[in-house]
Amino acid sequence: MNQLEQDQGGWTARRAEIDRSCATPCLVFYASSIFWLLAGTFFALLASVKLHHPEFLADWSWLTFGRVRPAHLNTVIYGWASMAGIATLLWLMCRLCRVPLMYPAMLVVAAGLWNLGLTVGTVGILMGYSTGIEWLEFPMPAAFLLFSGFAIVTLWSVATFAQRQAEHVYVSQWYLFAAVFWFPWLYVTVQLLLMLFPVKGIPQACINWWFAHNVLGLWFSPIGLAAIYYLLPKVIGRPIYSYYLSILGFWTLALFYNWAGAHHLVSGPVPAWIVTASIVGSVMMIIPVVTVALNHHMTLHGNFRLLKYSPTLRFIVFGAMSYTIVSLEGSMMSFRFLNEPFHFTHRTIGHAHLGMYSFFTMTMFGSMYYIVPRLTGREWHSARLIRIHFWGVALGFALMYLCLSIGGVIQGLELNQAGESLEKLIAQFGYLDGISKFVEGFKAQNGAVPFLEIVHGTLLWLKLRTVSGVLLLAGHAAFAVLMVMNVHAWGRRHIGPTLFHDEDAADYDRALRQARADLTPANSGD
Amino acid sequence: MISVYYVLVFGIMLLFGASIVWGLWWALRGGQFSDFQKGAQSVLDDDEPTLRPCDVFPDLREEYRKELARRANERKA
Ligand code: HEM
Ligand code: HEM
Repeated sequence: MNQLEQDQGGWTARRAEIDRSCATPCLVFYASSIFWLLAGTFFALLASVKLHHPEFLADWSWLTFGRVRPAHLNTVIYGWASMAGIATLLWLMCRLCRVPLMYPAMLVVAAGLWNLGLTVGTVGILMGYSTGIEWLEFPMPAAFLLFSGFAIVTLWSVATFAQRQAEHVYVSQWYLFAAVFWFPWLYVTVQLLLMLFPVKGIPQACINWWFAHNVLGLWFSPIGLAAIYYLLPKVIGRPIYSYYLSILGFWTLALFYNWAGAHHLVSGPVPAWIVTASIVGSVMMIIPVVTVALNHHMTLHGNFRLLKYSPTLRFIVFGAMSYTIVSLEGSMMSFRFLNEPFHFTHRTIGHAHLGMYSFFTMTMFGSMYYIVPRLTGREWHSARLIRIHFWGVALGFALMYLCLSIGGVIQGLELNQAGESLEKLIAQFGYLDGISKFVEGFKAQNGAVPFLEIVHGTLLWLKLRTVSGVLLLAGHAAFAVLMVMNVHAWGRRHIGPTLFHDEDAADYDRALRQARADLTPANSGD
Repeated sequence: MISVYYVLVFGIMLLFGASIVWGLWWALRGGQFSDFQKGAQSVLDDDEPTLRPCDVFPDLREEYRKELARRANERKA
């Protein structure tokens, strides 16, 4: 073996050692996240059906819309998204610091506290003990448990960073390290100011939305972006296109995101300057978003064919593209002239899922396709289930986004003096004339549309959303089965893609050399 | 009691704000931004980029291997 081969074996072995050390805590977090994903999808479907069939399961107080909706929101945000995010963060931190995971038992305790908090919180909401503050509905004891679990993760991150063997701090690490500080800061501040010692009046709303907005931008987004910045180069074997842009993107996000929270309160009873400042912050966000978009696109340029082969790449490219779209859409939505007509409509829910589902959730699925085989030492068992997962969630999401957006725009125009409902005009004049009369009516501000007619007009879109939910559920179920199979040793061991063993790597290289020889112009015939 | 909370909230705010400024200063002083090429490469080990697939649908392994070989030949040509 020459020096180079020895070094290569060294790197492979070192990565494998780090991966092995992460297995228990990361798998505990991932397994829990999938449990909460399924629970959250169940609550989501219940909430969705209730919006078009309000009588469905309406006799049980604990399954009424007002409880099932926050149960959905909190289980997917703190259960699925945060737990999948933490597991990804733990693995990435170890890989980036190039040290095996320290104190695994401590992290398992953190996962236990987090799960206990989620259980107490979700049961609390269903029993009617919600705080009534959006994104913070969990009652106080649950919040305390979540915070304790998170404090452990933050301390662990500091300890790992302090022990790091890598000299350079890669861009993903900036994002991750910032996220583990930002989240506890947001959570403690909001608990102090809204729960322990509630401020009164308008500041309540400002603090509420400062928190909810920053949880998206300073907790979920950094983890998603960190994963993309790490996995994209790994999978396609090429460094990031412009490292300068990636660093610029991080620091401009740190500078601008925190300003934008009050765009959730456009035209609310908030001092106008606060909202204006938040709109400026939202527009400034175009800078980090465009730097990220350009960078991802140019890194992938010329490699789009690989999307056919790599599950990780498929999911994270879907996520990365959605990040650009949701953010640019968000910057537009913060303008007063667009926010006012559409704020109280399903359009906002469409944007919410474009961010939390199409960007973050898809990125987490992609990360798990890469990370889990390295934790368990086994490949994914079934290509068919991966395809069911991908197409179920991709088509399901596309349908959900389309119907919430179209339904939401119609609803918004009708709520704003369109004169007659679109449904009525179509019934009277057919599709083309009906639509043009509807738009004219809105332009001329023909007067109020009866509220019940507006609600009736949304039913078709809400039913289609339930259909999309079923597709998403099918995808989630396929993924859950894949995970169970992988953890229970149904996948093939010791083979190429996961590269744990030198013999596999050598086998691969030999086969590759053979394939290349077969394909040289003299032999290939193509 | 009120003032304790406000001191806490503003204290935390200043602490986190200062930590970001400190982070930037630390990175500049430590030369983290001095060689972008090296920074971008730092995430790929010496045995990467590699022509081995590191993530692939289980049933497309052979096809992918050929695709990589084709690319390698293209690059060589
Ligand atoms: C530059 C980036 C972004 C901007 C300027 C932005 C802007 C907005 C605005 C103005 C709203 C309020 C809509 C309304 O209530 O009328 C909103 C809602 C929302 N956004 Fe974004 N957005 C951005 C990125 C994201 C990302 C990356 C995510 C997900 C990770 C996301 C998730 C959400 C969610 C979940 C809501 C709904 C919150 C709620 O009402 O409960 N956004 N966004
Ligand atoms: C698993 C990933 C998911 C995430 C991260 C997620 C996230 C969210 C968020 C953040 C909201 C609050 C939006 C707002 O207040 O503006 C929400 C509401 C909602 N979501 Fe999801 N969701 C997910 C999956 C689903 C699925 C599969 C469905 C199925 C139909 C669904 C249906 C709903 C419904 C019906 C609402 C309430 C909308 C309303 O109040 O009008 N979600 N979700």
